[in-house]
Amino acid sequence: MTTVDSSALARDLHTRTSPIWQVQAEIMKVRTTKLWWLFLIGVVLVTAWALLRNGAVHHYEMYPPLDQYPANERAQAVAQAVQAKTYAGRRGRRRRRTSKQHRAYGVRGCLPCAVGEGRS
Amino acid sequence: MRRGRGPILIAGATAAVSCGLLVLAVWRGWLGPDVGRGATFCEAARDGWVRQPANTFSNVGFVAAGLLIAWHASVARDGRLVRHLATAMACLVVLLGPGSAAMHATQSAAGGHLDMLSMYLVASFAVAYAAMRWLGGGTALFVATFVGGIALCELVGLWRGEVPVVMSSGNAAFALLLVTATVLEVALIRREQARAERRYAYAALAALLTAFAIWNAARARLCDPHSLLQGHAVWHVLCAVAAYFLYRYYASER
Repeated sequence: MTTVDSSALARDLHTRTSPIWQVQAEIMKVRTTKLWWLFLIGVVLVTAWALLRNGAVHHYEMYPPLDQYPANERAQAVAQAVQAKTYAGRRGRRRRRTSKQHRAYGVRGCLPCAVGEGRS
Repeated sequence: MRRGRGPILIAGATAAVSCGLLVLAVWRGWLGPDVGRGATFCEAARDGWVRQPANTFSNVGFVAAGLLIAWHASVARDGRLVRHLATAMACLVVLLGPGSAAMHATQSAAGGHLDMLSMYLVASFAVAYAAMRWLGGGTALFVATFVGGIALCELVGLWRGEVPVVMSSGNAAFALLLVTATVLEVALIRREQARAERRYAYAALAALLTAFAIWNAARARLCDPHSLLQGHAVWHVLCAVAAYFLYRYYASER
């Protein structure tokens, strides 16, 4: 495989065109031109943004503002927050969402779906 | 330091043996049942062999940093840091990886002890090396301070109360050792006893402080338990970076 086809390249016996050599050349280019510095900044910024966004999106799920809940729903909100921190809780959330979708489309929601015990 | 393959061979063997033992221990259940150790670090426990995948596999950073230290120790010019201490530091940084992974992979009590022990080893090394240079002592002083640091941490870690900010008494002892090492290093810089590239020391401190901020944020507020991008995993990577820069600071001393 060559990225550039030319008659001059075909006559040149010294220029290496194998894929492995091209990958090595790319790595050398990134290293010697200090392009790695730009990549590093990009990785740091994207990671920081993703962490902040994930944390912000799930914040109220993990830490529900209990003072804004009616007294009779607080215990349930706390239980759901605890449940959301478990892997089983995640699967339960998926099932509950499915159950909500069933109700939205007029389909009778199943009890195992609602309590997170049915098969996914 | 003289050139030679010793450091990289020893650190490589340490990495291979410790990671191999960890895989066996997780597979055969040698570390005991899941008691929820390390469950406070946000990531939700999975059903498989590896309970917290992101927090477990991010420990590869410590193994990479340890091997990088060993490689540098194998090729670097002579400095104040003697070769066998550079090799020892490389091995301790490597051991941070499987030690921490043992806890996050199994959430077991034994895994938690291995995690804390690997932290104590590195922090005690930092204090012992700083104390040795500060007091002008030799290997005996280094070994005594190193063993004393580990013993102190293990004793303090026996107390089961909750400590503000750092959670446990073991973490508090670890933090105390790191603060002591930092104070001694600053005192050594002020004394201008030796010439060293200070930018490495500042980079190590910056990485550690950033890591600690993320550790706190991920534990307390910024948490998505089901994401593979975990704040605690970033803490692991940044601590590995800090350990590498700390070594480069030691190695730059003339």
